[in-house]
Amino acid sequence: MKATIRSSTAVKALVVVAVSILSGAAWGQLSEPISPLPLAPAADPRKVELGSKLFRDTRFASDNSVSCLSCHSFQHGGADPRPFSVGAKGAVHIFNTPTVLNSGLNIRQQWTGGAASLEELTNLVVKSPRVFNSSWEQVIGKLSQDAPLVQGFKAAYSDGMTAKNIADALAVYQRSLMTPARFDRYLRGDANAITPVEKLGYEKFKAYGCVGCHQGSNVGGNMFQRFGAVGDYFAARAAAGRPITDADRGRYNVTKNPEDLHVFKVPSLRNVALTAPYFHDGSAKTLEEAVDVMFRYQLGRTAAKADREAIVKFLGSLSGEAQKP
Amino acid sequence: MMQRPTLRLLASAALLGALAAGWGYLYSNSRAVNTDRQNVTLGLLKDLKQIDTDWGADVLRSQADIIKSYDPLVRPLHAIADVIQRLEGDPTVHQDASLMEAVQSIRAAVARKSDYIDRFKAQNALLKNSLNYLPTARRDIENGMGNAGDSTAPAAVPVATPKNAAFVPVRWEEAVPLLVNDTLRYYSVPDIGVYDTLRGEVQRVRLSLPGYSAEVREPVGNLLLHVETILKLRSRQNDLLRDIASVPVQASVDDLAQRLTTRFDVALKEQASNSRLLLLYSAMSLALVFGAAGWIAYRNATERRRLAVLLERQTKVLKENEAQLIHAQKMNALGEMVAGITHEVNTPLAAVRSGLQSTRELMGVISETLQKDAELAQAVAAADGNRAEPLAQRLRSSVEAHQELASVDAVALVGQLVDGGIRSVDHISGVITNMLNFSRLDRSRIAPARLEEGLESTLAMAAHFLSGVSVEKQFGDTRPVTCDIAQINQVLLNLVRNAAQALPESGGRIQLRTRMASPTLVEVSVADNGSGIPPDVLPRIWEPFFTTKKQGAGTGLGLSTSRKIVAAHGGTLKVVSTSPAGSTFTMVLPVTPPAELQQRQAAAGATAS
Repeated sequence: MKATIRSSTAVKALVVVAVSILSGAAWGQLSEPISPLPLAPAADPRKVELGSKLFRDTRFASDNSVSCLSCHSFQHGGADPRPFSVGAKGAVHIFNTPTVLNSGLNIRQQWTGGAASLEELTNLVVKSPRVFNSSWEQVIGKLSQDAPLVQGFKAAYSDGMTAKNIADALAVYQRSLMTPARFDRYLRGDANAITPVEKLGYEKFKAYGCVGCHQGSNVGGNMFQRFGAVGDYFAARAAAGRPITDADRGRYNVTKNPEDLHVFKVPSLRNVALTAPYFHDGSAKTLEEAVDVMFRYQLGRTAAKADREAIVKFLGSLSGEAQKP
Repeated sequence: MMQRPTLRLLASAALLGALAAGWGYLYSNSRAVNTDRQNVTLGLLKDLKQIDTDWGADVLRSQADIIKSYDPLVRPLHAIADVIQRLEGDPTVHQDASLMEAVQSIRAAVARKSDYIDRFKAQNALLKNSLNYLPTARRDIENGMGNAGDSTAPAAVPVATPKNAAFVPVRWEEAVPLLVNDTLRYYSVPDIGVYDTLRGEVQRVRLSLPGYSAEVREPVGNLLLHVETILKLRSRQNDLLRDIASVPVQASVDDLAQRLTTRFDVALKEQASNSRLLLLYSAMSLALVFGAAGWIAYRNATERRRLAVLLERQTKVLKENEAQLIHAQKMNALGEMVAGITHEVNTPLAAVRSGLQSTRELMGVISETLQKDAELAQAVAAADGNRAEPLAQRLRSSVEAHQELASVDAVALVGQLVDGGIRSVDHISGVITNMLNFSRLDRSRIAPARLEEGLESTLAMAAHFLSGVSVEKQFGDTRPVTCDIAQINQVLLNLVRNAAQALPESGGRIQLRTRMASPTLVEVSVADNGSGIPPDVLPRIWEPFFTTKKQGAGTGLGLSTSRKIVAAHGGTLKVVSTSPAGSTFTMVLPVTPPAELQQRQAAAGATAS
């Protein structure tokens, strides 16, 4: 009898231990600062198709010179290899083009958070003199000449081709541009999806505090932070020969709140290995350079060369495995 | 005539339509409050509060480093935007400016909270980064020195600063652990005393920094930077958390809920009163409809009764008229027969009369011839007695024949007979003329006539039942009356006949009187000294088919027809009867009858011909 009681107690203890281990594991997963990329939201394929066409349509530009794709090249991680993109009529932008990939996960759009949504963003870039330099009248005027496109809108939207629906189709398409990476597989439990160096890089990424800002499913993109939180980045850059510009004021340009001076949206690091050059000013030509700048001005720390290299390797594991053409 | 029923129908339809519309309006108003929708909306608000609560809790979890990703702080934005959009799309909210205003204040509160949370994320990231760095920094510094293998190296050379001569440099070996420990302590309890101490330590280490060895200087410098960051951000984080908590998202949600509930209660009250109104309205409508139906039924019944009475009267009148028509036709036929008889009789009568007249005229010549013959025969007989015997015999027989004729005065007798014949013929002729006069078939019906003449005619007609009756005539100087004298004669004959029939066996007396009752009214009265009319019979004598005579003796139409005829002439026919003294019927006729009589007569004449 006694033995039985004892054994059942032992079993109970075992169960408790097992449960606590399991919950601990679950807790560990939950408390991971980076979460796997969610699935792309369900979307009407007709709208995605329309958005895809529009994304490549140069008729948005007043001079029919550029499309969305011109600056959000999929060969370059959905961004532009040039420090500053060139819009309609040769206008040069004042910000480096951020990636379109996974942009549906961002808290707001643009470096400054100037657009609350992808729909609003389309509205802005159509009119922006540095992007399409056009108007909805012009754009719809040109697009409505395209009978198949008009037909496509009629099929997908009850009220056909309107500014609202064009922006919607583009937004639906952009939200579909999700790039699951090897690292996501790692997070989902495939321990061998990334190399040991990349694993080390991830540990360093967390240890040095990079995850303070670059966290969440988009490894960034869900918050704002002052560029030069610890060191004065802009003073140093000015000293190096690049004076402070209007663009450098960042979110202040949107909110006019002095606390937002030099504040920018923390960019997503997904596909970051593909989207050089870096930062809002396109000042960092390589990822290594960008990581160094981050250590100096955001973390206020120095790191061993090996650690930095590991981090750069880790960042490479964030590139989408199946690039959307 | 066709339009009135149509109009009435239209009016009824319009009234019913208006009633139905009113009912429909009240009905829809009494069903306007949608409890389900209200509950859905309140449910949305509850969701919103829950999302907001979770949002605030996630901020604190972030702050406590329980969650290491800011995605949970971003996700509520989408959820809230979705809820707000649904709220704005709610018809009740959409139509009410004050509710929309409340939604906008929720939106504004959420935007402000989101703004604060953005700041919190930025600060929290830096704070956590610095905090996490502290132990690493200490280890790095110590390891760095350890790696240098110079742990026993003399303390940094104190360097006097020009500002503060009394400054005593601190050794990093002591300063760094102290800084780290105090900073961690300050982070967990941001006490102002600890803050001041820390500031002092940071200041001292910073001043001592130039005296440290090169390997140590940079890491210690970094450490100072992070300690300063923590000092700067830790108290501000508390303020920020307070700010986040004080954003009145919940209050503005409650406000909207309050407004919605108030509105709902008002609407509910309105609905209740509308329901009562609907009930009242329905009851009134029903009462109206039933009332109308009742009224129509009542009117129908009344109308039916009235029609029945009318029909009865009409039937009676029709029967009477029919009877009178038959009577009139009889009279007409009689009149025509009289006319025929008159014609047929008058002609042979005239021939008989003229024959008699001629006979009478010839009688003188015949008488004279006979006289002369007689004288000749006597003279011949007296003068010559020797005549031949045959001749003498003829003479004697001729004388004898003359003596015989003379003995019976034959000629005079023939004359008398002829005279009598002529008188009889005249009498017959007079009777026929009278009959003709009475019925006046040979004249236009409406014409001025003396009523006295009518009376005379009537008396002549009534002669056969007036034998043994004394008829007294008191005729006044009356004006001619424009009338249908044949009809008036009929009336007079009726009156005279009735009078004669009322008379006693002997000593009967009828008084006929005429006079001008007024300058335009002629009065004729027929009075008898008969038994009079019993009072119980008196009111009924004018009724058609009422008779006191033996079955078959009278039609019962006499007096009723008479009264009709008199009335048609604009006159009156009345009776005064006292049982023992007899009755007096008095007819009063205007000199000029009403225009209708003439017209009717003309029309009747036209159809008759």
